[in-house]
Amino acid sequence: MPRSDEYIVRTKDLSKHYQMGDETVEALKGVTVDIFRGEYISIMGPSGSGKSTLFNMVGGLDKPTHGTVFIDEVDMAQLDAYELAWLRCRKIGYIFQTFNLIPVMTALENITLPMVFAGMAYDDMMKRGRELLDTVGLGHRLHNKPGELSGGQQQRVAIARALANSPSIILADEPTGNLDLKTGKEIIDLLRRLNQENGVTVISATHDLKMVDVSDRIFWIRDGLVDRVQTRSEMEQEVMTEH
Amino acid sequence: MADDSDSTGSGIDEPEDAGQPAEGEAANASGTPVRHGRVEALSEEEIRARLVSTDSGATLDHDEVVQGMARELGAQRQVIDLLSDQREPEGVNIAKVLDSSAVDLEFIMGVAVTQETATIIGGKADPAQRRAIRDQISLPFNTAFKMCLRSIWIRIGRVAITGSGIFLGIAFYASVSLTAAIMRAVAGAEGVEQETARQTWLIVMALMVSVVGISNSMLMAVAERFREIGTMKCLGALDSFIVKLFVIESGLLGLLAGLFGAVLGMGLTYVIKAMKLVFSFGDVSGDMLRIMLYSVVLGTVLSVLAAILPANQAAKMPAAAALRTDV
Ligand SMILES: Nc1ncnc2c1ncn2[C@@H]1O[C@H](COP(=O)(O)OP(=O)(O)OP(=O)(O)O)[C@@H](O)[C@H]1O
Ligand SMILES: [Mg+2]
Repeated sequence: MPRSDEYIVRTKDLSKHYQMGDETVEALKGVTVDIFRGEYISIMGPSGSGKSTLFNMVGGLDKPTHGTVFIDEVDMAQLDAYELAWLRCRKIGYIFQTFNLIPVMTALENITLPMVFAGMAYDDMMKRGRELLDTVGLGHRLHNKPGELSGGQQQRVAIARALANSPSIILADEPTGNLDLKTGKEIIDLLRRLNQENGVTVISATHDLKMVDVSDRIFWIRDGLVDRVQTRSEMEQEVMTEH
Repeated sequence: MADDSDSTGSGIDEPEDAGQPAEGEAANASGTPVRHGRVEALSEEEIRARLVSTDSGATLDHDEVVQGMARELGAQRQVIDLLSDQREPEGVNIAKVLDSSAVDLEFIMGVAVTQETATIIGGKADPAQRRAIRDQISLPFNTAFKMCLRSIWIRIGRVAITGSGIFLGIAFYASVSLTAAIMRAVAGAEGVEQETARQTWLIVMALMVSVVGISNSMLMAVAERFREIGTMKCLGALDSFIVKLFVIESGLLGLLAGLFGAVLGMGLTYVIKAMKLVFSFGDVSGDMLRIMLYSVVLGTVLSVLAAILPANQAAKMPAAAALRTDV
């Protein structure tokens, strides 16, 4: 699915300061980025450069110190608690490095939780939950708890959960960080297919080179600022000449 | 734009379904982990060494990545093939996962909200529509109750420790109250008045001590679950859902602790007093019922009181902060 020329996420002069005693840490120092609907974006940069902080701001998980985040041209700062919950529930699917499944719930219960919050009927919820697990190749592990699954399997449950309410954005913070190469590749391929075939916008902070291959654009972050933005073809061009 | 969305083709031609442990062993036994004989660019050692450095979370800046990519180009597919004997997730056929016919993406995104977000929420949305959002986020009591029962059952050890504070406090209350009731039944009302004042004081003290004790355990129990709280908020939970879950859970805990505490306290007292004094069950059965009721109510209320403050604090934390905590 080709990217459209509508913006799905925009940030304007986004900054985030953390107060640590007397010291102020400037995790973001004015980040302005535009992301089109249907793009696959990788956010790369050294450890501590502000990737996760940007992830949190865009996902509405924390409030910026200055600046604005627009999702679908809606200014997030203007949303009340209900609207923010609605956005997190239906518009954005989150994927984390540490999977963050609820340990006391089975795979199926984890996946259906966002549907519970969205008020879906029980039978529909179970049906969709099962199909989503089938989709990520875990149809046979419905009733296992996260502790009984491998890392790759847990991450697939987390992806299925992120897709529960058919979000238009998937936000991922180092989704392959705790996975071996092969499992990481599968996860990336699955994200890429969701992106290509269904137009889900994928925004992923990553250290993973495999991710660069599938990204439409790469945002390079350094010291809380966007160092540069590259399209994949520019990146490939550069790689070729380097070769 | 060069498009390389080729899925891992390595497994597609192998119909491995059930017996793939044997399959994996066969690959190892043959001594050549290299499938399709495509590795020319790098030796296995080189590739493995490189994987360690890229997947260990080492931080790469732009230039390093460009260099890495240059080396990676053309070799990456072979790497995947090379390592495909490693850690095949049990019971999963990757080819099948990635095979588009097996993955019904239409279905996944089928119910996608096509409506523009801006028409539903935010300053530009119709006010009536904005208010309607409130009914679209819910956690029905039944579901919450089931989740809590589940959570208590699974953490039964920790719950028992938290509950023991209430259990003992209530047992003490029930014992003192029943003693008073028995004394009244045996001696009549006169002379017991002064005793009662002293006992009330004792009971209040005991309950206060137990509240302090359980507050501490509840604080810990909530802190242990910060990450879970943050996750739920990411999935669309309102702060009030979090509080609701903790209130139900602590209420159930208090109810059970109160019930068992009353049974223990009154049971022991009854047996001990019955050995020394003469009274019949009928004399105190009314009092016992009353004490039982009070115990259960008291236990529930105290437990909820102890939980509500930390739960409320935790629910108000920004989701990002809750997710960061590692307990
Ligand atoms: N809650 C916080 N309190 C104080 N400082 C913080 C907090 N969160 C992040 N920081 C600081 O902000 C900076 C950016 O952190 P961030 O987590 O965004 O980096 P990152 O790019 O995601 O790094 P990594 O690749 O290691 O995950 C770091 O210097 C970090 O120490
Ligand atoms: Mg990070």
